Amino acid sequence: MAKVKVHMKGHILHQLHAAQDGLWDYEIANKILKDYDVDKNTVFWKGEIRATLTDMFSGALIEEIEDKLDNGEHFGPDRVLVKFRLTQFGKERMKETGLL
Amino acid sequence: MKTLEEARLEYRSHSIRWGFKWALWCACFWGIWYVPGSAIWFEAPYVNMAFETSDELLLSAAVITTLTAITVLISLFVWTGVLHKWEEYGRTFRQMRKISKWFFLAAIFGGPCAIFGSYMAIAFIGGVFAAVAALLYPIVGATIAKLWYHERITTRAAIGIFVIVIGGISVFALGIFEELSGVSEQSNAWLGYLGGAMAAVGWGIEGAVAGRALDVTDPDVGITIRFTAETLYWCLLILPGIMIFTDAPVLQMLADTMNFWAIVWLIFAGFTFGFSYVCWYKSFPLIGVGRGQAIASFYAVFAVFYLTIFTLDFPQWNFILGLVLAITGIFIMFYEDESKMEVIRDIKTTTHIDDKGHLERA
Repeated sequence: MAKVKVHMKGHILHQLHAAQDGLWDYEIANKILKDYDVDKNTVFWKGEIRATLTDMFSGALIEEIEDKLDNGEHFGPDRVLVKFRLTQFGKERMKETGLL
Repeated sequence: MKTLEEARLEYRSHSIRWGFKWALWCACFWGIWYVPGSAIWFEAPYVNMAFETSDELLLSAAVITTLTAITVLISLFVWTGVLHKWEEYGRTFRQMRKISKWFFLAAIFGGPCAIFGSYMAIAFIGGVFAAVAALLYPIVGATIAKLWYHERITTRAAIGIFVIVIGGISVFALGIFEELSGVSEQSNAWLGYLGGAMAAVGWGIEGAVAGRALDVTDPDVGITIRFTAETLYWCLLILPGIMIFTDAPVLQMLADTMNFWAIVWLIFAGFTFGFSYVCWYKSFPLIGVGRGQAIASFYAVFAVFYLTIFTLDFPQWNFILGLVLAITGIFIMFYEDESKMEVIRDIKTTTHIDDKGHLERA
Protein backbone atom coordinates (compact mmCIF):
# COMPACT_ATOMS: atom_id res chain seq x y z
CA MET A 1 0.00 0.00 0.00
CA ALA A 2 1.18 3.44 -0.83
CA LYS A 3 2.03 5.61 2.10
CA VAL A 4 1.13 8.91 0.50
CA LYS A 5 -2.51 10.04 0.55
CA VAL A 6 -2.29 12.89 -1.93
CA HIS A 7 -2.41 12.13 -5.67
CA MET A 8 0.84 11.86 -7.63
CA LYS A 9 0.86 15.20 -9.43
CA GLY A 10 -0.03 16.91 -6.16
CA HIS A 11 2.81 15.15 -4.39
CA ILE A 12 5.27 16.24 -7.11
CA LEU A 13 4.08 19.84 -6.71
CA HIS A 14 4.53 19.57 -2.92
CA GLN A 15 8.14 18.42 -3.40
CA LEU A 16 8.85 21.34 -5.71
CA HIS A 17 7.17 23.76 -3.34
CA ALA A 18 9.39 22.56 -0.50
CA ALA A 19 12.58 22.88 -2.57
CA GLN A 20 13.20 26.60 -3.11
CA ASP A 21 16.19 25.96 -5.37
CA GLY A 22 14.37 23.45 -7.55
CA LEU A 23 14.76 19.71 -8.03
CA TRP A 24 16.22 17.53 -10.78
CA ASP A 25 13.67 15.37 -12.60
CA TYR A 26 15.47 12.17 -11.59
CA GLU A 27 15.44 13.25 -7.93
CA ILE A 28 11.68 13.74 -8.22
CA ALA A 29 11.24 10.39 -10.00
CA ASN A 30 13.26 8.48 -7.38
CA LYS A 31 11.33 10.07 -4.54
CA ILE A 32 7.95 9.34 -6.15
CA LEU A 33 8.85 5.73 -6.93
CA LYS A 34 9.81 5.24 -3.29
CA ASP A 35 6.87 7.12 -1.76
CA TYR A 36 4.23 5.32 -3.82
CA ASP A 37 5.97 1.98 -3.63
CA VAL A 38 5.79 1.37 -7.38
CA ASP A 39 9.40 0.22 -7.84
CA LYS A 40 8.31 -2.99 -9.57
CA ASN A 41 7.33 -1.12 -12.70
CA THR A 42 10.21 1.31 -12.80
CA VAL A 43 10.55 1.97 -16.54
CA PHE A 44 6.84 2.64 -16.97
CA TRP A 45 6.53 4.89 -13.92
CA LYS A 46 9.73 6.81 -14.68
CA GLY A 47 8.31 7.53 -18.13
CA GLU A 48 4.97 8.58 -16.60
CA ILE A 49 6.68 10.93 -14.14
CA ARG A 50 8.79 12.47 -16.88
CA ALA A 51 5.65 12.96 -19.03
CA THR A 52 3.86 14.51 -16.06
CA LEU A 53 6.70 16.99 -15.54
CA THR A 54 6.61 17.88 -19.24
CA ASP A 55 2.93 18.65 -19.15
CA MET A 56 3.26 20.78 -16.01
CA PHE A 57 6.08 22.63 -17.76
CA SER A 58 3.90 23.25 -20.86
CA GLY A 59 1.20 24.57 -18.55
CA ALA A 60 3.69 27.01 -16.94
CA LEU A 61 3.22 25.53 -13.46
CA ILE A 62 6.93 24.79 -13.28
CA GLU A 63 9.93 26.22 -15.08
CA GLU A 64 13.27 24.90 -16.17
CA ILE A 65 16.26 26.37 -14.35
CA GLU A 66 19.12 24.11 -15.35
CA ASP A 67 19.74 21.08 -17.50
CA LYS A 68 22.42 18.53 -18.40
CA LEU A 69 22.84 15.40 -20.50
CA ASP A 70 22.00 12.00 -19.07
CA ASN A 71 24.99 9.64 -19.22
CA GLY A 72 22.58 6.71 -19.17
CA GLU A 73 22.26 6.63 -15.41
CA HIS A 74 18.68 7.88 -15.05
CA PHE A 75 16.33 7.91 -18.06
CA GLY A 76 18.68 6.70 -20.81
CA PRO A 77 21.76 7.98 -22.67
CA ASP A 78 21.52 11.36 -24.46
CA ARG A 79 18.28 12.35 -22.74
CA VAL A 80 18.02 15.82 -21.21
CA LEU A 81 17.90 15.93 -17.45
CA VAL A 82 16.07 19.01 -16.25
CA LYS A 83 16.06 20.87 -12.97
CA PHE A 84 12.62 22.36 -12.36
CA ARG A 85 11.32 25.05 -10.04
CA LEU A 86 7.74 25.95 -9.14
CA THR A 87 6.48 29.18 -10.77
CA GLN A 88 4.33 31.84 -9.12
CA PHE A 89 1.45 30.62 -11.30
CA GLY A 90 2.07 27.04 -10.16
CA LYS A 91 1.85 28.22 -6.56
CA GLU A 92 -1.45 30.00 -7.25
CA ARG A 93 -2.87 26.92 -8.95
CA MET A 94 -1.80 24.80 -5.95
CA LYS A 95 -3.70 27.14 -3.63
CA GLU A 96 -6.79 26.99 -5.86
CA THR A 97 -6.81 23.20 -5.86
CA GLY A 98 -6.27 22.77 -2.14
CA LEU A 99 -2.65 21.64 -2.29
CA LEU A 100 -1.47 24.59 -0.19
CA MET B 1 27.10 11.71 -28.79
CA LYS B 2 24.61 14.53 -28.88
CA THR B 3 25.20 18.02 -27.62
CA LEU B 4 23.01 19.40 -24.88
CA GLU B 5 21.48 21.89 -27.33
CA GLU B 6 20.46 19.13 -29.74
CA ALA B 7 19.02 17.04 -26.95
CA ARG B 8 17.01 20.00 -25.63
CA LEU B 9 15.48 20.76 -29.03
CA GLU B 10 14.69 17.09 -29.56
CA TYR B 11 13.00 16.83 -26.18
CA ARG B 12 10.85 19.87 -26.90
CA SER B 13 9.78 18.68 -30.39
CA HIS B 14 9.07 15.29 -28.93
CA SER B 15 6.58 16.58 -26.39
CA ILE B 16 4.84 18.90 -28.86
CA ARG B 17 4.59 16.08 -31.41
CA TRP B 18 3.00 13.86 -28.78
CA GLY B 19 0.39 16.55 -28.15
CA PHE B 20 -0.47 16.57 -31.86
CA LYS B 21 -0.47 12.75 -32.01
CA TRP B 22 -2.89 12.43 -29.10
CA ALA B 23 -5.24 14.96 -30.71
CA LEU B 24 -5.15 13.08 -34.04
CA TRP B 25 -5.85 9.75 -32.33
CA CYS B 26 -8.78 11.44 -30.62
CA ALA B 27 -10.12 12.48 -34.03
CA CYS B 28 -9.64 8.96 -35.37
CA PHE B 29 -11.59 7.26 -32.55
CA TRP B 30 -14.26 9.98 -32.52
CA GLY B 31 -14.77 9.47 -36.27
CA ILE B 32 -15.20 5.70 -35.88
CA TRP B 33 -17.76 6.36 -33.12
CA TYR B 34 -20.22 7.62 -35.76
CA VAL B 35 -20.51 4.06 -37.10
CA PRO B 36 -21.88 2.43 -33.90
CA GLY B 37 -23.48 5.79 -32.92
CA SER B 38 -25.63 5.69 -36.07
CA ALA B 39 -26.04 1.90 -36.22
CA ILE B 40 -27.74 1.71 -32.82
CA TRP B 41 -30.75 3.60 -34.26
CA PHE B 42 -31.23 0.73 -36.73
CA GLU B 43 -31.56 -1.92 -34.01
CA ALA B 44 -34.52 -2.93 -31.87
CA PRO B 45 -36.26 -1.24 -30.16
CA TYR B 46 -35.37 2.04 -31.92
CA VAL B 47 -35.84 0.80 -35.48
CA ASN B 48 -39.44 -0.19 -34.74
CA MET B 49 -40.45 3.14 -33.27
CA ALA B 50 -42.70 5.47 -35.20
CA PHE B 51 -41.17 8.56 -33.52
CA GLU B 52 -44.36 10.52 -34.02
CA THR B 53 -43.83 12.60 -30.92
CA SER B 54 -40.76 14.49 -29.74
CA ASP B 55 -41.11 12.83 -26.33
CA GLU B 56 -40.34 9.43 -27.77
CA LEU B 57 -37.23 10.70 -29.56
CA LEU B 58 -35.97 12.58 -26.52
CA LEU B 59 -36.46 9.50 -24.34
CA SER B 60 -34.58 7.29 -26.85
CA ALA B 61 -31.73 9.82 -26.93
CA ALA B 62 -31.61 9.85 -23.12
CA VAL B 63 -31.55 6.05 -22.87
CA ILE B 64 -28.86 5.70 -25.55
CA THR B 65 -26.70 8.41 -23.94
CA THR B 66 -27.02 6.68 -20.55
CA LEU B 67 -26.04 3.27 -21.92
CA THR B 68 -23.14 4.80 -23.88
CA ALA B 69 -21.91 6.52 -20.70
CA ILE B 70 -21.90 3.12 -18.97
CA THR B 71 -19.97 1.36 -21.75
CA VAL B 72 -17.48 4.25 -21.95
CA LEU B 73 -16.93 3.95 -18.20
CA ILE B 74 -16.33 0.19 -18.50
CA SER B 75 -13.67 0.82 -21.19
CA LEU B 76 -12.03 3.47 -19.02
CA PHE B 77 -12.02 1.19 -15.97
CA VAL B 78 -10.19 -1.42 -18.04
CA TRP B 79 -7.73 1.29 -19.15
CA THR B 80 -7.18 2.42 -15.53
CA GLY B 81 -6.50 -1.20 -14.55
CA VAL B 82 -4.04 -1.76 -17.39
CA LEU B 83 -2.08 1.34 -16.36
CA HIS B 84 -2.13 0.31 -12.67
CA LYS B 85 -3.75 3.61 -11.78
CA TRP B 86 -6.55 2.43 -9.49
CA GLU B 87 -4.85 3.79 -6.38
CA GLU B 88 -4.31 7.10 -8.12
CA TYR B 89 -8.00 7.12 -9.06
CA GLY B 90 -8.92 6.69 -5.40
CA ARG B 91 -6.49 9.37 -4.24
CA THR B 92 -7.78 11.88 -6.80
CA PHE B 93 -11.49 11.05 -6.47
CA ARG B 94 -11.42 11.63 -2.70
CA GLN B 95 -10.52 15.29 -3.16
CA MET B 96 -14.04 16.16 -4.14
CA ARG B 97 -14.18 19.78 -3.03
CA LYS B 98 -10.90 20.80 -4.58
CA ILE B 99 -10.39 18.64 -7.66
CA SER B 100 -13.11 16.14 -8.52
CA LYS B 101 -15.71 18.91 -8.56
CA TRP B 102 -14.14 20.28 -11.75
CA PHE B 103 -14.51 16.89 -13.46
CA PHE B 104 -18.09 16.62 -12.18
CA LEU B 105 -18.74 20.06 -13.68
CA ALA B 106 -17.04 19.07 -16.97
CA ALA B 107 -19.30 15.99 -17.06
CA ILE B 108 -22.45 18.15 -16.94
CA PHE B 109 -21.29 20.16 -19.96
CA GLY B 110 -19.91 17.21 -21.88
CA GLY B 111 -22.65 14.68 -21.14
CA PRO B 112 -26.23 15.85 -20.58
CA CYS B 113 -25.43 19.05 -22.50
CA ALA B 114 -23.13 18.10 -25.44
CA ILE B 115 -23.63 14.36 -26.05
CA PHE B 116 -27.37 14.49 -25.40
CA GLY B 117 -27.57 17.71 -27.46
CA SER B 118 -25.91 15.89 -30.36
CA TYR B 119 -28.48 13.10 -30.21
CA MET B 120 -31.25 15.76 -30.15
CA ALA B 121 -29.75 17.39 -33.23
CA ILE B 122 -29.52 13.98 -34.96
CA ALA B 123 -33.11 13.15 -34.06
CA PHE B 124 -34.84 16.43 -34.92
CA ILE B 125 -32.79 17.64 -37.89
CA GLY B 126 -30.21 15.03 -38.92
CA GLY B 127 -26.76 13.58 -38.43
CA VAL B 128 -25.15 16.01 -40.82
CA PHE B 129 -26.46 19.06 -39.00
CA ALA B 130 -25.37 17.53 -35.67
CA ALA B 131 -21.82 17.01 -36.92
CA VAL B 132 -21.54 20.54 -38.33
CA ALA B 133 -22.90 22.15 -35.19
CA ALA B 134 -20.40 20.26 -33.04
CA LEU B 135 -17.56 21.46 -35.27
CA LEU B 136 -17.93 24.95 -33.87
CA TYR B 137 -16.82 23.83 -30.40
CA PRO B 138 -13.08 24.61 -30.76
CA ILE B 139 -13.97 28.27 -31.25
CA VAL B 140 -15.92 28.24 -27.99
CA GLY B 141 -13.18 26.23 -26.24
CA ALA B 142 -10.27 28.40 -27.44
CA THR B 143 -12.08 31.62 -26.52
CA ILE B 144 -12.84 30.44 -22.99
CA ALA B 145 -9.33 29.03 -22.48
CA LYS B 146 -7.85 32.38 -23.51
CA LEU B 147 -10.13 34.50 -21.35
CA TRP B 148 -10.20 32.22 -18.34
CA TYR B 149 -6.65 31.01 -17.97
CA HIS B 150 -4.61 33.03 -20.39
CA GLU B 151 -3.94 30.28 -22.88
CA ARG B 152 -1.63 31.61 -25.56
CA ILE B 153 -3.63 31.52 -28.80
CA THR B 154 -1.15 32.78 -31.41
CA THR B 155 -2.34 34.30 -34.70
CA ARG B 156 -1.17 31.13 -36.40
CA ALA B 157 -3.17 28.91 -34.06
CA ALA B 158 -6.26 31.09 -34.56
CA ILE B 159 -5.93 30.88 -38.37
CA GLY B 160 -5.41 27.10 -38.10
CA ILE B 161 -8.52 26.67 -35.94
CA PHE B 162 -10.55 28.74 -38.39
CA VAL B 163 -9.32 26.81 -41.49
CA ILE B 164 -10.04 23.43 -39.86
CA VAL B 165 -13.56 24.51 -38.88
CA ILE B 166 -14.28 25.74 -42.43
CA GLY B 167 -12.89 22.43 -43.73
CA GLY B 168 -15.18 20.48 -41.45
CA ILE B 169 -18.18 22.51 -42.51
CA SER B 170 -17.44 21.91 -46.20
CA VAL B 171 -17.32 18.15 -45.55
CA PHE B 172 -20.98 18.40 -44.68
CA ALA B 173 -21.87 21.34 -46.96
CA LEU B 174 -24.20 19.59 -49.40
CA GLY B 175 -26.09 17.57 -46.84
CA ILE B 176 -26.77 20.50 -44.57
CA PHE B 177 -28.89 22.35 -47.18
CA GLU B 178 -30.94 19.24 -47.86
CA GLU B 179 -31.53 18.64 -44.19
CA LEU B 180 -32.36 22.24 -43.38
CA SER B 181 -34.82 22.58 -46.27
CA GLY B 182 -36.32 19.23 -45.29
CA VAL B 183 -37.14 20.36 -41.76
CA SER B 184 -38.21 23.93 -42.44
CA GLU B 185 -41.89 22.87 -42.25
CA GLN B 186 -41.54 20.97 -38.97
CA SER B 187 -42.65 22.71 -35.82
CA ASN B 188 -40.23 20.89 -33.52
CA ALA B 189 -37.09 21.65 -35.55
CA TRP B 190 -36.11 24.21 -32.90
CA LEU B 191 -35.32 21.31 -30.56
CA GLY B 192 -32.69 20.20 -33.11
CA TYR B 193 -31.13 23.69 -33.32
CA LEU B 194 -31.10 23.85 -29.54
CA GLY B 195 -29.36 20.47 -29.43
CA GLY B 196 -26.73 21.65 -31.94
CA ALA B 197 -25.99 24.73 -29.85
CA MET B 198 -25.80 22.56 -26.71
CA ALA B 199 -23.19 20.36 -28.40
CA ALA B 200 -20.93 23.24 -29.52
CA VAL B 201 -21.14 25.15 -26.24
CA GLY B 202 -21.06 22.02 -24.06
CA TRP B 203 -17.89 20.49 -25.52
CA GLY B 204 -16.19 23.89 -25.67
CA ILE B 205 -16.86 24.53 -21.97
CA GLU B 206 -15.98 20.97 -21.01
CA GLY B 207 -12.50 21.36 -22.50
CA ALA B 208 -11.87 24.60 -20.67
CA VAL B 209 -13.19 23.33 -17.31
CA ALA B 210 -11.31 20.03 -17.54
CA GLY B 211 -8.13 21.85 -18.62
CA ARG B 212 -8.11 23.59 -15.27
CA ALA B 213 -8.31 20.40 -13.20
CA LEU B 214 -5.82 18.63 -15.47
CA ASP B 215 -3.14 21.11 -14.31
CA VAL B 216 -2.86 19.18 -11.07
CA THR B 217 -4.12 15.69 -11.97
CA ASP B 218 -3.32 12.73 -14.15
CA PRO B 219 -5.25 12.79 -17.47
CA ASP B 220 -6.05 9.04 -17.50
CA VAL B 221 -7.50 9.31 -14.02
CA GLY B 222 -9.20 12.63 -14.76
CA ILE B 223 -11.17 11.31 -17.70
CA THR B 224 -12.26 8.26 -15.73
CA ILE B 225 -13.59 10.48 -12.93
CA ARG B 226 -15.38 12.63 -15.50
CA PHE B 227 -17.22 9.58 -16.90
CA THR B 228 -17.91 8.22 -13.42
CA ALA B 229 -19.69 11.53 -12.81
CA GLU B 230 -21.65 11.35 -16.07
CA THR B 231 -22.78 7.78 -15.41
CA LEU B 232 -23.95 8.79 -11.93
CA TYR B 233 -25.92 11.75 -13.32
CA TRP B 234 -27.78 9.60 -15.84
CA CYS B 235 -28.39 6.55 -13.66
CA LEU B 236 -29.17 8.25 -10.35
CA LEU B 237 -30.67 11.59 -11.36
CA ILE B 238 -31.88 11.95 -14.92
CA LEU B 239 -33.48 8.58 -15.74
CA PRO B 240 -35.08 8.25 -12.26
CA GLY B 241 -36.26 11.87 -12.65
CA ILE B 242 -37.92 11.04 -15.98
CA MET B 243 -39.57 7.98 -14.38
CA ILE B 244 -40.90 9.96 -11.41
CA PHE B 245 -42.17 13.02 -13.24
CA THR B 246 -43.49 11.50 -16.49
CA ASP B 247 -45.11 8.23 -17.45
CA ALA B 248 -42.48 7.51 -20.11
CA PRO B 249 -41.63 3.77 -20.45
CA VAL B 250 -37.98 4.09 -19.36
CA LEU B 251 -37.56 0.58 -17.93
CA GLN B 252 -39.35 -0.99 -20.87
CA MET B 253 -37.02 0.75 -23.31
CA LEU B 254 -33.93 -0.28 -21.31
CA ALA B 255 -35.13 -3.89 -21.26
CA ASP B 256 -35.86 -3.85 -25.01
CA THR B 257 -32.34 -2.56 -25.71
CA MET B 258 -30.85 -5.68 -24.11
CA ASN B 259 -30.56 -7.59 -27.40
CA PHE B 260 -27.37 -8.90 -28.99
CA TRP B 261 -26.74 -6.33 -31.72
CA ALA B 262 -27.78 -3.31 -29.68
CA ILE B 263 -25.31 -4.37 -26.98
CA VAL B 264 -22.56 -4.99 -29.54
CA TRP B 265 -22.99 -1.47 -30.97
CA LEU B 266 -23.11 0.07 -27.50
CA ILE B 267 -19.87 -1.65 -26.45
CA PHE B 268 -18.22 -0.58 -29.71
CA ALA B 269 -19.50 2.97 -29.16
CA GLY B 270 -18.21 2.95 -25.58
CA PHE B 271 -14.77 1.76 -26.61
CA THR B 272 -14.29 4.28 -29.44
CA PHE B 273 -15.77 7.22 -27.55
CA GLY B 274 -13.86 6.31 -24.39
CA PHE B 275 -10.49 6.26 -26.09
CA SER B 276 -11.18 9.38 -28.09
CA TYR B 277 -11.77 11.10 -24.74
CA VAL B 278 -8.55 9.65 -23.25
CA CYS B 279 -6.57 11.12 -26.16
CA TRP B 280 -8.43 14.44 -25.98
CA TYR B 281 -7.55 14.89 -22.30
CA LYS B 282 -3.93 13.84 -22.88
CA SER B 283 -3.38 16.39 -25.64
CA PHE B 284 -4.66 19.44 -23.71
CA PRO B 285 -1.73 19.82 -21.29
CA LEU B 286 0.83 19.48 -24.10
CA ILE B 287 -0.49 21.73 -26.88
CA GLY B 288 -3.33 23.64 -25.21
CA VAL B 289 -7.10 23.34 -25.25
CA GLY B 290 -7.49 25.49 -28.39
CA ARG B 291 -5.11 23.49 -30.59
CA GLY B 292 -6.13 20.12 -29.11
CA GLN B 293 -9.80 20.74 -29.79
CA ALA B 294 -9.23 22.06 -33.31
CA ILE B 295 -7.18 19.04 -34.37
CA ALA B 296 -9.75 16.75 -32.80
CA SER B 297 -12.31 18.30 -35.20
CA PHE B 298 -10.54 16.30 -37.84
CA TYR B 299 -13.08 13.67 -36.71
CA ALA B 300 -15.35 15.03 -39.46
CA VAL B 301 -13.03 13.61 -42.09
CA PHE B 302 -12.62 10.26 -40.28
CA ALA B 303 -16.37 10.00 -39.74
CA VAL B 304 -17.14 10.36 -43.45
CA PHE B 305 -14.31 7.99 -44.28
CA TYR B 306 -15.48 5.18 -41.97
CA LEU B 307 -19.14 5.66 -42.81
CA THR B 308 -18.14 5.27 -46.47
CA ILE B 309 -16.36 1.99 -45.75
CA PHE B 310 -19.35 0.62 -43.88
CA THR B 311 -22.11 1.87 -46.18
CA LEU B 312 -20.22 2.02 -49.51
CA ASP B 313 -21.95 5.34 -50.04
CA PHE B 314 -19.19 7.46 -51.60
CA PRO B 315 -18.76 11.11 -50.63
CA GLN B 316 -18.87 13.94 -53.15
CA TRP B 317 -16.34 16.61 -54.20
CA ASN B 318 -16.99 18.73 -51.15
CA PHE B 319 -15.45 15.99 -49.02
CA ILE B 320 -12.12 16.37 -50.82
CA LEU B 321 -12.26 20.15 -50.38
CA GLY B 322 -12.97 19.70 -46.67
CA LEU B 323 -10.16 17.20 -46.31
CA VAL B 324 -7.64 19.53 -47.97
CA LEU B 325 -8.71 22.45 -45.77
CA ALA B 326 -8.56 20.40 -42.56
CA ILE B 327 -5.09 19.08 -43.35
CA THR B 328 -3.92 22.59 -44.28
CA GLY B 329 -5.21 23.87 -40.95
CA ILE B 330 -3.26 21.23 -39.04
CA PHE B 331 -0.06 22.04 -40.91
CA ILE B 332 -0.53 25.77 -40.25
CA MET B 333 -0.53 24.96 -36.54
CA PHE B 334 2.10 22.24 -36.64
CA TYR B 335 4.73 24.41 -38.31
CA GLU B 336 4.48 27.10 -35.69
CA ASP B 337 7.81 28.15 -34.20
CA GLU B 338 8.22 25.57 -31.43
CA SER B 339 9.62 28.07 -28.98
CA LYS B 340 6.14 29.67 -28.97
CA MET B 341 4.49 26.34 -28.23
CA GLU B 342 6.67 24.97 -25.46
CA VAL B 343 4.72 26.89 -22.84
CA ILE B 344 1.09 27.19 -23.82
CA ARG B 345 0.17 30.03 -21.50
CA ASP B 346 0.90 33.72 -21.32
CA ILE B 347 2.73 33.42 -18.03
CA LYS B 348 6.09 35.05 -17.45
CA THR B 349 8.76 32.47 -16.81
CA THR B 350 12.37 33.31 -16.05
CA THR B 351 13.96 30.92 -18.54
CA HIS B 352 13.36 30.04 -22.14
CA ILE B 353 14.95 27.79 -24.78
CA ASP B 354 15.78 29.65 -28.00
CA ASP B 355 15.70 28.37 -31.61
CA LYS B 356 19.21 26.95 -31.35
CA GLY B 357 18.52 25.07 -28.14
CA HIS B 358 20.28 27.46 -25.73
CA LEU B 359 18.79 27.97 -22.29
CA GLU B 360 18.25 31.71 -21.87
CA ARG B 361 17.51 33.62 -18.70
CA ALA B 362 15.26 36.66 -18.63
